[in-house]
Amino acid sequence: MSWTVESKPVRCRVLCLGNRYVAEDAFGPQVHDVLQDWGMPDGVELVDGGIAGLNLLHCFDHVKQVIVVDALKGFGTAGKLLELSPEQAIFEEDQPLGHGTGLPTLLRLMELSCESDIPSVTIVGVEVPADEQSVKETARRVLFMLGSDVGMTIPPEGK
Amino acid sequence: MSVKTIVLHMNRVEGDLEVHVDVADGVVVDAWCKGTMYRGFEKILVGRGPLDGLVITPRICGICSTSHLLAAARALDDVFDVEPPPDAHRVRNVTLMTETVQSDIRHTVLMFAADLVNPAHRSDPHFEEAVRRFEPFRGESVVEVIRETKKILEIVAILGGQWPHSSFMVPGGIVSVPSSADLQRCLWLLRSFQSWYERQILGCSLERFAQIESVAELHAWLDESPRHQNSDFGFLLRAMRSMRLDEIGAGPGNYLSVGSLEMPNDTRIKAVQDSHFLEPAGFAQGTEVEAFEQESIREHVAHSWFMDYPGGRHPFDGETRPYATGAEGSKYSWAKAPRYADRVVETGPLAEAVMSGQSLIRDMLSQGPNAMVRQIARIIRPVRLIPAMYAWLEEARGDGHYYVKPKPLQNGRGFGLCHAPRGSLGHWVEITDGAISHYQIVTPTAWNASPRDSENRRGAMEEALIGTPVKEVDNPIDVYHVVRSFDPCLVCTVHTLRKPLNREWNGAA
Repeated sequence: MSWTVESKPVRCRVLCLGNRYVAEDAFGPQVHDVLQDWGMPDGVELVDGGIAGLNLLHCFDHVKQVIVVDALKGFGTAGKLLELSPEQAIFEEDQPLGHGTGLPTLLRLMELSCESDIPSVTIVGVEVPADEQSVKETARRVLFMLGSDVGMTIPPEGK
Repeated sequence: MSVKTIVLHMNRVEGDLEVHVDVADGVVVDAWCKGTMYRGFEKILVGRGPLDGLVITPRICGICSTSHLLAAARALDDVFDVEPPPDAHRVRNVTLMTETVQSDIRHTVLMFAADLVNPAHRSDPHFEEAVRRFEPFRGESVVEVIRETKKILEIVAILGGQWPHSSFMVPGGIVSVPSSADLQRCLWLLRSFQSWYERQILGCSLERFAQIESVAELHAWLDESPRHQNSDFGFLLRAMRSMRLDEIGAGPGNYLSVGSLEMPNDTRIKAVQDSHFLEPAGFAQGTEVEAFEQESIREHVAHSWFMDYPGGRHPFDGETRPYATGAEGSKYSWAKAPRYADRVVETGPLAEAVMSGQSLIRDMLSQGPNAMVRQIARIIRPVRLIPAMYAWLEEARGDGHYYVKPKPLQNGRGFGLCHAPRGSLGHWVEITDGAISHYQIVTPTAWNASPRDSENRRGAMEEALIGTPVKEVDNPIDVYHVVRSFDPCLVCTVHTLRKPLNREWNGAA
């Protein structure tokens, strides 16, 4: 990701979260890698957010839309693709404001620290464990969501 | 005497740390720090290309990403026997210092101070003001800190060309050459942070605060102005004394600093006693400082879930072979037990202040170490770092010389040391036939939250907990203060979005 040195206007960010070296948590980075291969439309910035926690707050600044991709646990059967609103994702974390800060805390703090109008946020994820098909299905869902916003053509099945 | 064991799943630390304490007659009589997750990054790295550590190790931690990158790069500088140009050192240093000053403020206000609003302190005269300032998500200072510390990390993004988990440092220098405009932008961001730090945190200028050299002068400074008393630091000082944080958490009294922030040639910044580092290396018993030798580091595994070996081993000779069965009861942590010259040591801002000869901290330590002085060393560390950040940003040349190409190499070994925000960090790497054949990482929290060693000596944090009062077993607030003062962080790990078991879920949106 290029932050602040981006010269083209960014209207939307796709923020993929997780630790690519921990199998259960690697879902977000895996979706990131698929999307990077497929390519993103103009005005969309793809971010491998890794495990940066609070240090990702700036990703919510100065954009209209943020799509967060993350592994889900406890929301349904394994492999199920879900879209959540911030309200559905903000739970009271066991570890508020700590080194282990997760997405619920990040979303709460985003509302306190955003330096622009608060963007529209959608969380897209799959109940883990997720297989390769789920990763691609999620990537296609992200592109579908972007397509409705920026006129992106969705890659065909099988790509 | 009846003994009660309390198991504390420490929040605001990491999901990977449990602290068990035995309590008798209202005080902690024994303690165990348990790292509950196997990391295994050392195993991931074996067999990979020599430079892969530059990409993989920054992902060990979401907060100390730059620290791991610098340690990995310094280890490879050593392997390839290459010295980066002075401006590369300047940029490397400034990015590490940015990560450090941000972490210092965030930890103090968001994590450490959150325990001051614990109901156990309800009767303290500072409680209501602590809630106003430090209540999670709502406190005035909390909101300020979240906003202001977000901005300064832009310096890392500009100088590293990528954020998060940058990999811009390589053996021989850096690959992201800043322009003059980049450096000017960084200076502007630093000025903005300094202005806020002086106004909100200190209540005075850096220069004024740096004049304080003793406890008596600190008291005089506090009484000097309402701005001093009402700054976050001034309030913390008053509240911590009132809540008696200066009476708990002594620790082993031995301090270690591996040295950090290489001094570039031709800089206007003066190092302490002509050290090669802005933050000098050293080992201290109390405030008596001796020279540091990395050869004296040993890692013990007698009480760690790894294959046994006798005594301790130097990281070049160490092994990371997980072994989780057969020794339940004696083995209790996934953290190893590092020791220096056969001694239990503490690392972190307090140790660094001792080695730097910081008069105020050394004077405070003359009354004995405690949780309060440990935290004060952290929150005032930016006073020491910010002037050097200015100097190095101003001295660096835009589009200048930032890289020396190393010669190809098939075999070799080296080590890289620096200070992560939480203390001394080391990477040891060996290259054989063009691939990594050995990698060992010793983190600050491995030093501080280590389990017992082969001589059955407690780790630094375990030792600091002995004697801590426990008035309520369900809410042992002083234990929290002691643990928090070390700012333990046992690796950022799984951030899966988890739905709490008691929360209803009605299907997809």
